[in-house]
Amino acid sequence: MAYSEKVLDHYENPRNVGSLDKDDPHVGTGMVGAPACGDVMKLQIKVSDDGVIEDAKFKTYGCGSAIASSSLVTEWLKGKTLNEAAQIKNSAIAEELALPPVKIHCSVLAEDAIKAAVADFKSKQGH
Amino acid sequence: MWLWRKLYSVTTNFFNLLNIPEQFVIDLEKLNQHYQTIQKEIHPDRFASTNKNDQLQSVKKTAELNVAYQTLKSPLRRAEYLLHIHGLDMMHEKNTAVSQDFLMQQMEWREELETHKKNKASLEALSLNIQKEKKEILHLLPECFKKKNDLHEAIEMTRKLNFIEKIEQHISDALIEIE
Repeated sequence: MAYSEKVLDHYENPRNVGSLDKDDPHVGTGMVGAPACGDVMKLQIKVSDDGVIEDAKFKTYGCGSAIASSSLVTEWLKGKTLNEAAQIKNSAIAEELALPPVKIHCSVLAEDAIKAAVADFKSKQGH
Repeated sequence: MWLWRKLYSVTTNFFNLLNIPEQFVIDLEKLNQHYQTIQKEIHPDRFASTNKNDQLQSVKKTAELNVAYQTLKSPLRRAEYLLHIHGLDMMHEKNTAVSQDFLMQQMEWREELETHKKNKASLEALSLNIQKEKKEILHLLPECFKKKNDLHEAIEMTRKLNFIEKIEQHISDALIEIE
């Protein structure tokens, strides 16, 4: 299957790979996995006191589309509020990366990872 | 993606086809015996001198039998197939729920694999660790499948098994690369 140029770009030069301190109260961690393909994705956000995402990192073990999806969302997340972040839809990710139908689940995984990271951050803040 | 998914439309029940009770715990020896017996009965060679239609049917049946056998032989595929029979497709793309601890563990294993992918001893040690977890899951699965009205534990275990077989594959690929 041919990957789109954007997928290849993110796959070859992934943005924001790495980890944030998961015990930091300003950091939210989202861990998700795709049972269908065994991919695992970790997405972390660092949120400022006024509720803006100032940093995002990811670590993904999976196919090119899963890596590209998570790399792309880390770029999108920076500068967004938590509410804005929670509104990122998998369809937007899939569209941006021109994912074929069989790879849509990779964008679903990335959306789930954002939600999980936001939820983790909120639970840490006691919301 | 495993082949039986492509045979969704097939109405044959793989357990019936191989004359094995429809449950997770099966007698593998019986499965092998039944497979070999049926295979002989329907083998295309036996229809070499008959009409084209019989020959074609024989080829089709043999292909189906092989998929059925491979599906039931592997605990993971058998579990997936049983869930499928119960109308539960654990592979649904919208469903990514697996326990956080388990995913964390997966992430750690993947990191370990990445760090030591050229070190045979480390890979073997990692593989041994994973084997232990796998054994545990295979030990629990039969009980999970007994609760026919509530298969959510069976789904969770099957998912875990799928993740585990995936990383096992990656480890074995890495080991081949070293040799």
